[in-house]
Amino acid sequence: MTGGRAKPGVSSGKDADRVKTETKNDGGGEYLVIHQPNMLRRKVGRLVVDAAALERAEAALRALAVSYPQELQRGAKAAQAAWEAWSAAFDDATLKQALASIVHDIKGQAGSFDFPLATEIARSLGIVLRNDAERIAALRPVVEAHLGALQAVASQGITGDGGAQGAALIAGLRKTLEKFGLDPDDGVTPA
Amino acid sequence: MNESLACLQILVVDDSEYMRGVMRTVLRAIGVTKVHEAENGAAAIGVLRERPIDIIFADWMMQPMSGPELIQFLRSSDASPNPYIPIVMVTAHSEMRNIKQARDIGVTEFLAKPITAKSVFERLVAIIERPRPFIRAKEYFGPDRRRQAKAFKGGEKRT
Repeated sequence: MTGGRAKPGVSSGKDADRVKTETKNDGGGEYLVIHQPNMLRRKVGRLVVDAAALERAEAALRALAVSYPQELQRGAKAAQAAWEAWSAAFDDATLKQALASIVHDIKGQAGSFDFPLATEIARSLGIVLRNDAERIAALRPVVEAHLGALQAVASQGITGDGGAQGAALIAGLRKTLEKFGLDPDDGVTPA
Repeated sequence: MNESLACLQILVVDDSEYMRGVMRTVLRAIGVTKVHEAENGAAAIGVLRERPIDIIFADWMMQPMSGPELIQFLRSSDASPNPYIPIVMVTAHSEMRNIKQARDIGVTEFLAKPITAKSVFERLVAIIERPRPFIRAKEYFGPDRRRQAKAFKGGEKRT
């Protein structure tokens, strides 16, 4: 969108408060560029990087991590229960959504609290859950292998990458996905 | 603590109570004292109608209204309380497909989990110090998707 023809802007109000607009066309069609006054900057002022405050915030996160193992156990049990409910009624999209939501939460949270293995299992299970209900019904062993792995990590409190045990767990899940024709790296952002 | 951040009103939208607690803890620790919460997109709209929210941190996957649905409503609906509000999408979906979708529906910033205090603060800096103009085109309304890579030139206070 750079280098397009610009028409003079429309503005209103005082200079500092005015919204400035310009119409551009870089060959891909006309569009409007709207420059809003930076009210947040005016409200907050100059932001200062307070290294001590950031360290306190990181410490607060570490303190929260103390309660995360219980949260992970609760999540792993909830995922198992959600799967049992859905696998008894595969045509109920709401039940699938409930399972996907729990898995999504574990994927997002676990890594923040030194449970990257749980995040990786949840990421891998997410690949399975992207399929439609009929396909997932045929992938029952894959889902159950993931849920079992999740329960193991949660109940044993396996932090970090889990060492050799963790590597074997992940390698096993990858093989299971491949065996059922799924790409274990599906959706991974290229480095 | 950044005392200047105390005047900000931030809305955290996440269906996980635990994750809302994490975000609340981090935001308060870096100086944001007015942290509001909603458990899904529909509840967030209710809060936005009642409070002068400055910035939203929203999860991707929620029911009954997901993060993308909330953003589309805020950017495009005539009933939107604030089409220009800065929105940070917080998600485990750090995959390209979601980053592109988030960008194309008008997300201001993207924050991939696992979150850190530094990553949250950096998003606030980006929004406040380097706001992008909005673009209104035939099929898009939202922040300019061309990111200007300018380093933060704010002061640094080491205590």
